Amino acid sequence: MERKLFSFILAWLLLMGIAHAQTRTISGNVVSSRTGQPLAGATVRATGTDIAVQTNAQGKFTIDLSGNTSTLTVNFVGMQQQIFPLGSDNTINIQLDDEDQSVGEVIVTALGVQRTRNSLGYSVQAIKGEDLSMVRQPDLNTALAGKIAGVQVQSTSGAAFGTSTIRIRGINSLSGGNPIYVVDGMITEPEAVNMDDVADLTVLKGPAATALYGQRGSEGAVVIKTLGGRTRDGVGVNFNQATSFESVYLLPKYQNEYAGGYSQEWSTYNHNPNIAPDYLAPYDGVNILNYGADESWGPRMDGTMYMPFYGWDPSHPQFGQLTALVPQPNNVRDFYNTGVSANTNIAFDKAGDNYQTRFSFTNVSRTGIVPNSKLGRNWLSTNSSLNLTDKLTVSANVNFQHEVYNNRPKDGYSSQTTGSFNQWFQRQLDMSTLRDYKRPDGTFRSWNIVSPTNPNPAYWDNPYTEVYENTQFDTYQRIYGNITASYQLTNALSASVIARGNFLNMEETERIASGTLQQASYSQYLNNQDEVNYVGTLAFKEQYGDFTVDAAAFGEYRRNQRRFTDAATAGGLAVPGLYTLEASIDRPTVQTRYFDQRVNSLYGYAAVGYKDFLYLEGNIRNDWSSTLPRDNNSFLYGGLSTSFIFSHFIQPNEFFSFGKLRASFAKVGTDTDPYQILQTYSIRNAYGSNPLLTVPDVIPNANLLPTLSTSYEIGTELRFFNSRLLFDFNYYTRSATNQILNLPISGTTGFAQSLINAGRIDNHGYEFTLGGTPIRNSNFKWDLNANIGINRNKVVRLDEQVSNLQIELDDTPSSFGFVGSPLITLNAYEGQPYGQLIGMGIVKDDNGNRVVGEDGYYLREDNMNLGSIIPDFTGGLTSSFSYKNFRAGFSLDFQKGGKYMSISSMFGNYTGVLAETAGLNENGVPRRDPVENMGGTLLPGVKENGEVNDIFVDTQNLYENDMFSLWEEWVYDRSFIKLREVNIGYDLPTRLFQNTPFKSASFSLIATNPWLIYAKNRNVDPSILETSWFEGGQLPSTRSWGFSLRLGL
Amino acid sequence: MKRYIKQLSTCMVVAAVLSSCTKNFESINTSPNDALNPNTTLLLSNALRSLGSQTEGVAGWAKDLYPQYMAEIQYTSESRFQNTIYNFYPIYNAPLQDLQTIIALNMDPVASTQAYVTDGGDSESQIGVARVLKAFYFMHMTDRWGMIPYSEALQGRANLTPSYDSQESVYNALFVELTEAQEQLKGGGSVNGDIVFNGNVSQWVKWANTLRMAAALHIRKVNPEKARTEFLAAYEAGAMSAIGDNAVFRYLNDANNQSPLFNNYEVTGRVDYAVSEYMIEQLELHNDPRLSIFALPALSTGTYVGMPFGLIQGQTGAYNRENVSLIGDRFTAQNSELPLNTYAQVEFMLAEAAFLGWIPDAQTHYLNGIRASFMQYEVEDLEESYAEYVAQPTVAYNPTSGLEQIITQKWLANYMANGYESWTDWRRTGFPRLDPGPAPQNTNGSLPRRQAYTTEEAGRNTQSYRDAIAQQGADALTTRVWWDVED
Repeated sequence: MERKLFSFILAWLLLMGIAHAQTRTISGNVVSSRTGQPLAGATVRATGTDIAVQTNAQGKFTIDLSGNTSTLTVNFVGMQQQIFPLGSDNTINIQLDDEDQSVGEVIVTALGVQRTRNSLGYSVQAIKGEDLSMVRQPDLNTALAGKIAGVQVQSTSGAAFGTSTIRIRGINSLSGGNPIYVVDGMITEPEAVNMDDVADLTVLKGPAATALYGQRGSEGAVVIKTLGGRTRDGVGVNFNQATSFESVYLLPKYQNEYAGGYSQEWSTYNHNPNIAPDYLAPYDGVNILNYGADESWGPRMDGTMYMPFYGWDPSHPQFGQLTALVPQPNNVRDFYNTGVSANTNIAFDKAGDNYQTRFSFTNVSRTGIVPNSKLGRNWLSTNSSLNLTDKLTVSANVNFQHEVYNNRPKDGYSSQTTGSFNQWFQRQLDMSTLRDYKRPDGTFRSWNIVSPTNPNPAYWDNPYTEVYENTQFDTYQRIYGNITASYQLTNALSASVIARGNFLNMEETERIASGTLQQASYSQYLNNQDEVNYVGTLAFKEQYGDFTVDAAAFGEYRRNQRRFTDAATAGGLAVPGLYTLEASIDRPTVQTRYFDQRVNSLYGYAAVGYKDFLYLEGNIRNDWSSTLPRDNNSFLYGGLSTSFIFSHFIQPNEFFSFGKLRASFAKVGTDTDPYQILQTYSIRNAYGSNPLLTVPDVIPNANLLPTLSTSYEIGTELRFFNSRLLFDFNYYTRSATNQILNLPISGTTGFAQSLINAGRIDNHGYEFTLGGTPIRNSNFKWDLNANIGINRNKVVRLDEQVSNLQIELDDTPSSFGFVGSPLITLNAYEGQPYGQLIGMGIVKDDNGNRVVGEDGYYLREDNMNLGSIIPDFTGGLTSSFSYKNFRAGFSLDFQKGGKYMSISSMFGNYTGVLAETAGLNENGVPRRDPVENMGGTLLPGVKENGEVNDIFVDTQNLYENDMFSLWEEWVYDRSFIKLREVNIGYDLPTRLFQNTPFKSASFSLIATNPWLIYAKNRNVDPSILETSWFEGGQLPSTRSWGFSLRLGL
Repeated sequence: MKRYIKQLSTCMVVAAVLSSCTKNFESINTSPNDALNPNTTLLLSNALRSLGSQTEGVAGWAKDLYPQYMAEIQYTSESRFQNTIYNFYPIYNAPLQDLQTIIALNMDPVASTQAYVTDGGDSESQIGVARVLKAFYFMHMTDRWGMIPYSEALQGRANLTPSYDSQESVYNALFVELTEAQEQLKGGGSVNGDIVFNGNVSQWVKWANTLRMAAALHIRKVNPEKARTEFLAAYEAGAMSAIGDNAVFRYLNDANNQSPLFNNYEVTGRVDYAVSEYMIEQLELHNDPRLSIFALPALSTGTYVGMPFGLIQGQTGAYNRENVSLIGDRFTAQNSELPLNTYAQVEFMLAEAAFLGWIPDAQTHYLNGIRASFMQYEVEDLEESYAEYVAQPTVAYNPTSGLEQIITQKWLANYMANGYESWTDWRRTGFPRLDPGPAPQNTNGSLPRRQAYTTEEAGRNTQSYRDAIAQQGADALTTRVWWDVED
């Protein structure tokens, strides 16, 4: 049926073409609208056909057209495409506008207000939707990496299907904080943004830019306008398909000399008839490894015949068969699969005089590198508007998203895959011997059996048991959007009413299978959260002589609610394999919560422009928040910004094209979460039939004040050589007072935290963007854009009683450590920059050399400052090339400085899994040999008397005992340079499908995260750190390549 | 223009409406998730539940490792004293703060008349019980860490940086607390939520006096006169006098309230601990009938094989859960008991007092202690076993080695119970003669003499922490607490 319809349409179109075939000759010239200079080599095409000519050196052209051609499409590299309607004139003059950074570029700012770039008194950066969707980054924030000055992307491994977070202009808030994502006015989560629907994206960095969003925009805003219907040629269908293949990129460097165990000595099996079944008797005396060990300090992998763990399993095909102990250098890599991701989008759009509409559907199907991990995501969205009368317009934008995750791989120390491979593993294991993880009777085979006669796992399940049996299933349903009615009261004045909603409904379930290491369990987390808001607006826009005035006032009511139930079985499952809460053997643990928050707001802005070169804008906002004490719940703030185009007074010349100065000042107020101000008492798990109640660990604050942050910003934007070279500089300061935070306090107070208004934290920073178009001619164009952001901060005042804040940055704990061992903590001392790591360090001499004691081990000192997690600077570089129909591009991002701590490096050495624990030492003797045989490890440093250290120490003892929790050793520099994406694309010439309904087609090859160009410690990819300042068993970094196809008709 | 004014006034109406919508904000911001009133019955249950917790109470592994009741089989960091830092925050946060709240509510003229307080039982008794339990926790803490925040602790926002009290002043305060609390409790009014003594206030009186006797013996070397006076006064006031008086925390057959050892043996299946070699030796040395209760025969040999204490990890490879004696079923059951203070201990304390000449008849108390222990562990054929056991020359009381015998028997009787008390006895007397293993760390070749403060204290309560170290000595396992004087 569809084919028939298609042929019919095709035939019909062809007939239409023939029926109207008449010829006509048009001539004219093409010039730059800005400079008036002729453009040589511009393409002039009869729209929708293959009939095209190029302009000559004087910008002139002549083209013969068939009579039904009504428009010409004119293209010139670096200029905006123009569709020129043909009138009766046969001689025409076409002016093209600059493509980007153009004088008249329109930017979406706060509240979706569109402004010319020139008029803005603060720094913004904008990205076009196609630049986001060109390379199929799995999530929005990762796609922004390297593209915006002052934005630090904190991504996690692609293997986890996680979304990354971004931090704009360093850490302003004492607890971190992320920007808001505003899609057509609705604040939502970054994972809710479908990059296929993005028309424009603007990053608003400072309070001056975001003040109108109020408190929630205090850490910046990513403002997104979605695509709508366009007046266009063709049917109005766009199809876009991208497929990519993801594989493990970096793994730590493992040692491949020694097998599992705690000692290099071989052990043999001593058959004990008291406990061992008779069928094992023949194996008395065979070599065995210490299977129960989860470390690799065992015998050399020198080909010695031994009984592998499965050799003791009578149900195993290789029962009783000895095998040679040989290295398995690729065993960990062998565990991972190639993940396949298919992203398909189809969109339909159309616009006419009284309407515009677009429907879009996107499907993402993805399998991960971890076996049995899968993600399915569907988006359905529509964006439409109707002009019901000349004055009344109604529009609606609705996005529905449905996501299903099967076994989203877990990062983390105790994860049974990465957590084991890199930290607690036996290096000789061959993955192919683990894959058959289930015995015929349904029990599980682990490599980590207690002993030949006890097949139970000692510390670890088989990783395949973990991924196939201990499964998670998560679903998310999200719907968000708005409906708006606006009425044009007069030419200058309009009013509108907007209703917005964002509804999230999620369920996360997890199973621990019976017969695995952990007790069988089932847990279920149900979460519903929603936001509803209503906004009434009055907007005014008028020109008075040389002055333009743009102003608006808003009244808003907002309500956020959340309710969740988090429940888990306790004490095992009544029926193995029955995963329900009622199967809980003991009383299940349950938590139910409800949160409600309301904020009422009044706000507005007024912008005045004078003669296109001077602009002034003011905004003001008052919020009333339910979360603050009654006397403090109303707070007023706002800002002022100005922009001055000084190039207006400079004679246009070849060198200097454009110059602008901008300056702004703003204050933003912030409230807190619900239920923070009154003392309440918490229920704990009951003791039998005795319920328990406890005083919570946070001291509430009945006198809480809103946070106010004040910022100043100045900047300039300069363009040279006909705008071929762009430079943007920005300096800002920001001072947050009365920051609301849970101050961790000494537990001896009876509490763990105190909710306070922290004194003051100051930030200042610089942002540089240098870009341009080094080469541009009729066929070739090369764009380059580099940016660097530098942020410095200082804790000026904290609390009248406490002078140090141990920070829970972006929900990462403020400290890490093992029971009984010294912690490493993240601190912010008054008078010092934020983000200092403090922990057990190594004593240094006056020259900074590490000092060893008489035994050759480092002398240690607790509570040493081990450096700051704050980078010296971050930045990125993007470049794109186009040549005729080809285009290519790449982007990379980098960070200089900042520290992180690696738990997996510590344990990888502790357990002898990593390469540095093996090999030869300075004596040319295996470092694992005894010190008395010239073996051992020599720690770099000096003795207490200043002599260079020459005392070798036992390698195993060094890592198992001495280096354990010696945090300085495990704190690394986080500097890195990472190539994030590379793409090569080709736009198929239209003549190839001129007799088809297709209007455009393009094909791209894409690679994401192909190369970690630089990192100090390559055992860990620092660009995908598991938490904000440390990792432990984080998933490996991945890279992917793929292709994408776009079709338009 | 008129039109604009009209619109402007509409705008102002909107403003007025929005700001007046804030009227119900207080009720909106009242949490529906937590109790608004502190019910003292439930607070007391919680403070008692914490006793059996490894972090909030006295059930951490160190209690069984330091006195070498058990030894780690594979990962020996705690028995080699690689673990130095133990966190007292949870004890202050959970039970102590709840007890402090119970006391404050009952002392407050308004709150004490509210149902959520009066439902907790007699006010004097509520205060008395809370004070006894608070004293128990504080003594437990000062014995582990030495100087601790006491007089300035638990004040919340009023003092975010409590200074540390010397151990001497903590002890002085505890004697007063225990004395006054048991006086308050003598009124006999019942309390609710008591999951240890089921509201039987006379048992609390006995526990208070027992604790006071223990406290007195702890300080007997630094202040012999006060020790003697307090001991005799407490004994006079009435200590535990039968095993039915034992203060015991009972775990339940419930995953949320199960014994930590059950969790290690059965739930996680790690089986990290076995009976120590020294423990098995001591039991076998005297043909102790408690051996088969305290330990299981090793699976591979069918005999009792103790796990050597504190081996380095290279040496532990030879041992596993099959070739050493695991801990007896009584102690690894999901609903096992955690004795905190016992009648047997009281008899051994009396024996020690008699040995010191404070009271007469050390031998009788010594034998009573052994018998009480046999009863407590339900030794089969009690009378016969007991008679046989004490008849052995190595067990029979010998005044010349009396203290060693008393403390060693006290140590045996306290197997897998509140072992911190056994560690305290070792620090006070040097008995039993524990060997710290082949490679102890951080202790100069000995057992720890205290535990180190949590690292967070250095960052959050910096000045107080530094002052404490300046006064007490390095924050190390080797620093002796005030009462721990070298002979």
